[in-house]
Amino acid sequence: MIDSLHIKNFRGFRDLSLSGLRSINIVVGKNASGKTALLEAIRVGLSGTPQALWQVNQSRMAGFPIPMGPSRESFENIWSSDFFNLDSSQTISFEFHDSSEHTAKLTIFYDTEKAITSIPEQPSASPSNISPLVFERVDFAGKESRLLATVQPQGHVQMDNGAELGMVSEFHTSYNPINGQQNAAFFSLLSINNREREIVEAMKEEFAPLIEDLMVLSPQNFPSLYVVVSGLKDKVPISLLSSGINKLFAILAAMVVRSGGVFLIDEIDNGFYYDRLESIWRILHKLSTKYHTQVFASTHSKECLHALSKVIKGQEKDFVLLRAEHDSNGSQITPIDGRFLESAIEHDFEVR
Amino acid sequence: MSILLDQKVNVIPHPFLVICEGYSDAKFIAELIKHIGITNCNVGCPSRTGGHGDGKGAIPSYLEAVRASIEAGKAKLQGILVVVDADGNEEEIFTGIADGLEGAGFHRPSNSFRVEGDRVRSAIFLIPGEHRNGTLEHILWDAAVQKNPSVEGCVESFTKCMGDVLASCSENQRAKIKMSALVAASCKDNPWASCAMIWSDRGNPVPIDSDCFSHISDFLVNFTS
Repeated sequence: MIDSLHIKNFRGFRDLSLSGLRSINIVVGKNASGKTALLEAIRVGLSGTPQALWQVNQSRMAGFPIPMGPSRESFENIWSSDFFNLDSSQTISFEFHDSSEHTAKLTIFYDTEKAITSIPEQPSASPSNISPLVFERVDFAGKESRLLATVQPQGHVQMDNGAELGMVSEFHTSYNPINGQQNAAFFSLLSINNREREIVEAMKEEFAPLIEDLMVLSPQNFPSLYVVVSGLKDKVPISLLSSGINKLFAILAAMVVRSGGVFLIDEIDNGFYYDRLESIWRILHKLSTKYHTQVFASTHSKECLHALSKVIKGQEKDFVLLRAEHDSNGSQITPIDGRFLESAIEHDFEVR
Repeated sequence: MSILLDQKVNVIPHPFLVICEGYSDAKFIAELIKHIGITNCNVGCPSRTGGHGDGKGAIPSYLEAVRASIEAGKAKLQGILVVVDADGNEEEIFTGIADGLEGAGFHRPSNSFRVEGDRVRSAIFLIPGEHRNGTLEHILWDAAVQKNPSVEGCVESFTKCMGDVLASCSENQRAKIKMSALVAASCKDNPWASCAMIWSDRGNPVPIDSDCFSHISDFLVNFTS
C-alpha cells in the first residue's frame, strides 16, 4: 500500500507532498482542481513506462487520436500537457513510499544531448532535432532502469517496454467506456484460480434477482462476458444488459486481479443508481481488506459520500478524504481523516 | 449573522462559531447575538436526525465535523465556543467537552469561561453561568420572573398542585416543567411551543434584553472581538 507520495511538475501539480494515505482514498474537489490528475499521476508514477503516460494522455483525448508527425513540435505535443504550466524544460518527478518503507521513483525529462534528426514529411521543410523523453526509474526493490520515448527518423513514435515499478495498478477513467474484452479477460484470469465465484456471488447479491450467473463465451471467436438473466431464455452480453452492471463487474474484478496493488477510478458513482452506492462501498472495502488492494476513487456526488457514512463507521482508519484545490501555486491535496469525514457526513457539513 | 441549526449545513461563513447542545439553546444564543448586534458569528447544534443524535454526547462528533469543514477549506474559523448546560456536574461536563475539542484538534481550554488558544481560540461556557449548576431554563425563568414577578407564584401554585408527579423530578427537570407551563400559558400563537420557539411568538414571556443574560452577552462580545 502507498503510504505517501511526492509529485513535481506533473500537470497541475507544481510540488505536492501527500501523506496519511489509507486503504480507501476518496478524492473530491471542484472541476480542474486536480482530482483526475492525481489518479493519473499515481498510474503513471507506479507504472514508470512511456506507454502508461501515453495511455493517460490518450484517455484525456477521449478517443480522439493524438496528432502526430515527424517534427519536434508534433512529438512534444504528445507530452506537453504532462508538464506543469506546459513547461517541458522542467523535470517531472514521482516518488512513492509504501507501507514496508520501500520507495519507488520516476523522473521524466527531455534528454537534449541525445537528440536525433527527423526526416520531414514535406521535402521542402527542414529537418528538426528531436530530444527523446527519458523515464528514469527506481523500482520498489531499488533497481534502477531507464526507458525512452522517441521518434524514429521516419516519424514513428517508439516507446521502450519495461516492467512496472513493483506495485500493479489499474486505472478506470471517466472518459472511456468499460473495456468488454478486459472484463472477459479478467473473468478468465479469475476462473483459472477459481476466484471468479466471489465476484459472481457479489454481483448476484447486488442485482438480485436479475443476475443468476456470469460466464465468458466466445460465440464468434470473440470472448465476451455474458449474464444469465432471470426470466430470459438466452444469455445476454453484460454490456448490453446495463452499463452500471458492466461497470460494477469491472470494478470488482480489478480489485481482485490487482491484488496487492492500486485501483484508481475516476467518478466512481457514475452509472450507479443512488441506492446501490452504500453496498458498492461496502463491497469495495471488503475486497480492499481481503486482497490488500488500495483504492483511489474520485467523486463529485454528495449521495456517494453519504452512502459511505455507514461503511466508514467503526472502520475510520481505513478511509481518508483527499480534497483537491487549485490556486496560483498549482493543485494541492488536503487529507481529511476518516473519523472527521464520517462526522462531517453525519452532521451534513460540506467537505467536497 | 446566520444560524447553522439542526440541518443542512453547507459552509460556515463567519469567523466565529458557537456550538450549543440543542435546538433551544442554539435559538436562545442566536437571539442574544442578534440583540447584541454581533454579526460575525454562526450558531450551530447537533441534529436530532444525525447518526450521533443531539445533546452533549453529539458535540464531540459535531466538533470533528467542524474540523473536517476547516480542512476542506469551507470554514476559516478564528474562534469556537461550546455552550452547554452545567446540569448538576460542572466539572464532568467541562471535561467531556474539553476532550471533544482536543479530539477534534482544537485548543483544550484550561477552564470553563476562558477564551484561549492561538490560531483558533476556544472556550466552554456552562449555562446558567459561573459557579452555578442548572440549565438554560433556569436563566430563562429568572428573566421571565424579573419581567413579570407575579408569574412566579402562579406557576409555583400549579407545580404544587401537581404534587406527587413533580416530587420525583430533579431540580433541572422541575425548571424545564416550570418553563413549559409558563410558555404554554403565555405563547398565544403557539401554546405548545418549546423554548426554542418563544422568540417569534407575540406572547413570549422572556425578554431577550434582560440583565439576567448580561454575563452571557459580555462573554459573547469578548469571544467575538
